[in-house]
Amino acid sequence: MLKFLIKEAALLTAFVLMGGLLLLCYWSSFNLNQGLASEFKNPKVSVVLKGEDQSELRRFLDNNSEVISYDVFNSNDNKEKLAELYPEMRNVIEPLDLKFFPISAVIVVKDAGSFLKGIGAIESIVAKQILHEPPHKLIQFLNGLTAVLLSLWLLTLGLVLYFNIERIMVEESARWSLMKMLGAKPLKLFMPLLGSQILRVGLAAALSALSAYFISHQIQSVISWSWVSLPSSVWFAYFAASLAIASLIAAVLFRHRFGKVAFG
Amino acid sequence: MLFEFTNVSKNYGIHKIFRNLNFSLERATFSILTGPSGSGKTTLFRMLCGLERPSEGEIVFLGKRLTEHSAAHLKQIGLVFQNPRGLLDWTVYKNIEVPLLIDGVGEAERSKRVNHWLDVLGLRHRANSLYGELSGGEVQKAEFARAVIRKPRLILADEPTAHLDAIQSDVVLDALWELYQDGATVFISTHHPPTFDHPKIDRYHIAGQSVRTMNGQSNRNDDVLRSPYEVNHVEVSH
Repeated sequence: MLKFLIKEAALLTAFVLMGGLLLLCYWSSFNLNQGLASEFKNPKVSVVLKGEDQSELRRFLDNNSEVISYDVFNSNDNKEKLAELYPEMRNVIEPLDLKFFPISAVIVVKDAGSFLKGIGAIESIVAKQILHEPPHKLIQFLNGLTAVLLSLWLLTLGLVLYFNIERIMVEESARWSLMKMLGAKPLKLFMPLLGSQILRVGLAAALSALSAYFISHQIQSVISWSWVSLPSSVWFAYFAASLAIASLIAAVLFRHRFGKVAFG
Repeated sequence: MLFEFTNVSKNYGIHKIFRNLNFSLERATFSILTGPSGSGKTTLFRMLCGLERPSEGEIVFLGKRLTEHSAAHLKQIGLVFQNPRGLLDWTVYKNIEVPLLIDGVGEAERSKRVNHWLDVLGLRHRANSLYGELSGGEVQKAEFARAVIRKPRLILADEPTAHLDAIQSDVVLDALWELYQDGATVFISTHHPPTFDHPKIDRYHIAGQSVRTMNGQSNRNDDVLRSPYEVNHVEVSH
């Protein structure tokens, strides 16, 4: 019996951890997607100029139908930006001549492909152009991780219920057998069993949601970024899904085990 | 007709228990099935409850083909098994009360019926004792009370007096007779034929080498029970 209880406690803890990790992973993925959505609403192209004349670039951008908006940064702007980015290097950057800092522009375009084709017209003044793309691989990784954690979470939930119902069956087999013989409807035996399972899973789900919430707040305070909290509907959906899936798994397991109980 | 077995065969692996069994019972009859241990009496009862499926043939109970047990079907049958099925950590009262709890009977009615049977069977002083504390005979009486407390239409009693002395056996058999008088169909299986007799009692016998009806007017006039072996004779007697 003790062995059973230890196994169940370990599984329940694993379920809480899996749930917490799943929510955290989803939260990270959600934040990344939210951030990228605002950052990469339209494609962005950075252009670095060869010389100091920016008039030709401006003329080209003003007349290009693919351009939505643009910002041109002169040599001084870029020098300042670099110094801001690396404050510890400011003493090194400050004395440098402006000729080491080229003029650049960040251009928001409608279609990156068409714009890059068209930029050939000012090839003589452009030293380099860079297309900024969202980190697809990171997004894929986070989505994959979420899917893996979801599968593990489901597996843990199934195991939590399986071992608990197995133990209950061992304890209750004589009663179930008698009830079966007397024509009791399985639902009458299942409902109290389901009640206890729902309570356990509900508490574990609430605990995992609370830990995920707490950890996400800790991350927000440590890593400075424009974090977005998960909408309340996600927390509710997690809790409701835990209960619904637990009920479904419990029903399937009970049906299977009750069918095997000796009759009287 | 309460139930009817038509060409029912039952095998356990290569071991044949019944072959082409044709057997029926009318409603409101009192029947005793005798036969030695291992002759198939319990299997017959289990098939009748839907606990065992026939290997071949069909069983019809109250006009419906019985494929497997259902809650509604089982509620119409009071089962008294050879071995106790009650829960050892429950009191006698609770064990007897269970069928009524399942049926959702009100507390007053439950109390009335349970106390009635406790009085009939002389178990009132044991009402609050745990099942595990009872003697074999007391357990058998409590099992009997639980089986009949619903007033089932059919009472199947497998060796209902096996652990009882003569006086206690009479108490149980008298109770069964009362239930029969009230309209229930009573079917008892035993390897010790009861000492009491009555012209209305139908008697059937299963034996290793022969099967016979000793009073079979209510049954079809062909072989009432057929063993794995050939039927040597069908005997009708009062």
